[in-house]
Amino acid sequence: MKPSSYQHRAQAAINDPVLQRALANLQQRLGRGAAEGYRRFPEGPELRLKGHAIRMKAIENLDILLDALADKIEKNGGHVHFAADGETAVKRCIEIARRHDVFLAVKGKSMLAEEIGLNPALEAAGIETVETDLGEYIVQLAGEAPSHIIAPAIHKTREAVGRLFADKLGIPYTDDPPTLTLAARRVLRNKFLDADMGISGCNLACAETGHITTVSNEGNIRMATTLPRVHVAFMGMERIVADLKDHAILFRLLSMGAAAQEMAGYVSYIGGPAEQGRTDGPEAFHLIIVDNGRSRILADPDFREMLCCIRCGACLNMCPVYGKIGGHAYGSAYSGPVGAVVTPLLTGISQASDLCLGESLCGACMPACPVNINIPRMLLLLRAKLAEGDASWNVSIRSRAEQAAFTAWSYLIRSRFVYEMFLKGASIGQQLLPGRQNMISRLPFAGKGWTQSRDLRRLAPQSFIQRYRIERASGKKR
Amino acid sequence: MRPHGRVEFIKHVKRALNRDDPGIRSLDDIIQCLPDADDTRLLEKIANRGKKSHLALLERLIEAGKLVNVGIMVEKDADTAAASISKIAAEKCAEWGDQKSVVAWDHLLVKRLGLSAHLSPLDIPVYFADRQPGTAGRLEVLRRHAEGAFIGVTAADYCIAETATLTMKTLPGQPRSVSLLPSIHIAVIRLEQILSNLNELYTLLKWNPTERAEGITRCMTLITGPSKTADIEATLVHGAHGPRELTIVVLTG
Repeated sequence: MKPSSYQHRAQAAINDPVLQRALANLQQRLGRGAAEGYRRFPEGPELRLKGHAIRMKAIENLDILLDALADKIEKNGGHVHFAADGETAVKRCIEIARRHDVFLAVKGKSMLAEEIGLNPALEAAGIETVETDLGEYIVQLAGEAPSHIIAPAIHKTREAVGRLFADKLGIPYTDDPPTLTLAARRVLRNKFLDADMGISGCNLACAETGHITTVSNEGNIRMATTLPRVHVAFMGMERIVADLKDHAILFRLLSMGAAAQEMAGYVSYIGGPAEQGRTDGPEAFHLIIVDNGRSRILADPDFREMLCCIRCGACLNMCPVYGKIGGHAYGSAYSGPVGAVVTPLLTGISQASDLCLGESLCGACMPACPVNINIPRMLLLLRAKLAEGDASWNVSIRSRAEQAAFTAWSYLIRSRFVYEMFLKGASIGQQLLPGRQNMISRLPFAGKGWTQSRDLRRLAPQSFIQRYRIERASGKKR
Repeated sequence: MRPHGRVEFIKHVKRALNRDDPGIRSLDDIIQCLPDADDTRLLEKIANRGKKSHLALLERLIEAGKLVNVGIMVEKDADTAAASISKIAAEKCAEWGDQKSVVAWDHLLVKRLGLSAHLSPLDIPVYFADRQPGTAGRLEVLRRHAEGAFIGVTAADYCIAETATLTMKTLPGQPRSVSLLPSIHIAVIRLEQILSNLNELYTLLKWNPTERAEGITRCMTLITGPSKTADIEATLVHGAHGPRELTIVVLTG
């Protein structure tokens, strides 16, 4: 089989020493930090299980929660739009922008906006859209895609950022992070003050009070949602909990999972536009609630659990695969273990099969998850669908040859006699294969992949059973 | 009437959930509607906290502040507090333009400091937000003042000791931009406004009758430390977009 683009990108990442250092550093810092943080919770690490239960309860009552949220926001003078797919969501946003004469939009980081391709669509509609999270801004200036959920520019060195800023912002070259940050602060402040529209995501809405919440450390989302005339928020339909009590717990779990913090720098609860003539803030507030494949996940009890995900990125910081291949290899908005499950479910299991096949099933993501999502279970299920096919998810069998080989193997190992014959044949046959005395350096045909980066041990002269029989017989004699 | 899109959308979600109970259910069936024993106990504990336990919380706040780069200034009364703020105003440089100016909330605690009198010898004007900004472009004036100011002075609803977190609702006279646009944010609180942890805040918001009546307003913000980023090679830098310094002034008198 030809190497896929996933394999190409993964290989490129592995060969990039800068990225390898950055990934190792990130995992060391955030991955360990979150694990220690979970242990430090006064309620203990079991708080994660409670978080899981809260999220499941919310997902199972999603219809009621969304209705309640929309009622409250509309009562406060906000507008709530429901979009069945990404295209509709983007269209709504452009309509809103047109209605309010928007030329410049400032944007806080939103995974959903990446998922539905908001930026290019807005640009195509003639609306300048500026990313304001420093990492996202760097990535946007460079014309690249973010490579980590909460650290979008980890693949860039300070020297690369220095060159980029010198080139695009016209400042003298420097590789000093505080100076570079200050340069971005100055440019972006003017954008914030001039912008007509602020765009944000939604980390977690609260149905009881009728608020969405946004979380940031830089303050860019506060700027984007306070200064411009119009605020448009994008929310995946699953990002909601029932009440303040649930919210308090989830929110601590989110801060810890995302950045190993007890508390994120800025959290805003937004429940509508500013009260006219009484306070500052945007004149208009629009919330766009997006399905885009989520209801299909909701309808399948096997995968419903995946909707508990709050997109904190904690699983990326523990995943040995993400730690080597980085975010770009996944070729979608979502990378790491979460991407390996969510992307196939949203965009098609067969189309994104590499993502779930590429993960190692080591299980590190589950204890890393602040809401204890059983990602390994779902990875296995996706692989089973690829092996056996599943019409309900529109998955055809990935490889007939592989399926036939495993069917044959299952017959072969069911009879001791046939199996022994096979072993005898194989131990003769293996002498034809190249390699040192005990090792095979290259398998032929479909087995090629097994010896691509390692040697395989040759079959022993005796099988375990044979040896056991002989040893037992000689033991009896003694 | 509900827009068609919403009805269809919710119906679709209902179908996906494959609900067994088609009967009408509301949010009240899902959430806790009355405080349980733990909530009541916690509310009483907060209400009956004496000076001694408030001072203990202050100690914790000072420790937590160190971890997130928040300066905590403990002041006996409004006068000494104003003197300390004046000292900051004299020492620090303006970031946006040459003229130093201060923007502040129209809030009893802030007004009592008499900042204008303290800062006029330094030639630093203090602009206060209006409680009725609706009249003739007052919001635009406020915005200009907030953009130009190098220090923003606010009060806060509460301050959480465990994480050094300030909480503030949006009310007339208390605009969001004062804690956001200036380079330095100074928040003034009374000792009794310190809570122990996030859970206490949420319990108050959920069950305290005054809080319930007010709601959490159109925008409630939780602020922990000055603006920060670590997006370039994971190096921590303060002052990404919001204030680069944050000081909490605690009045103990």
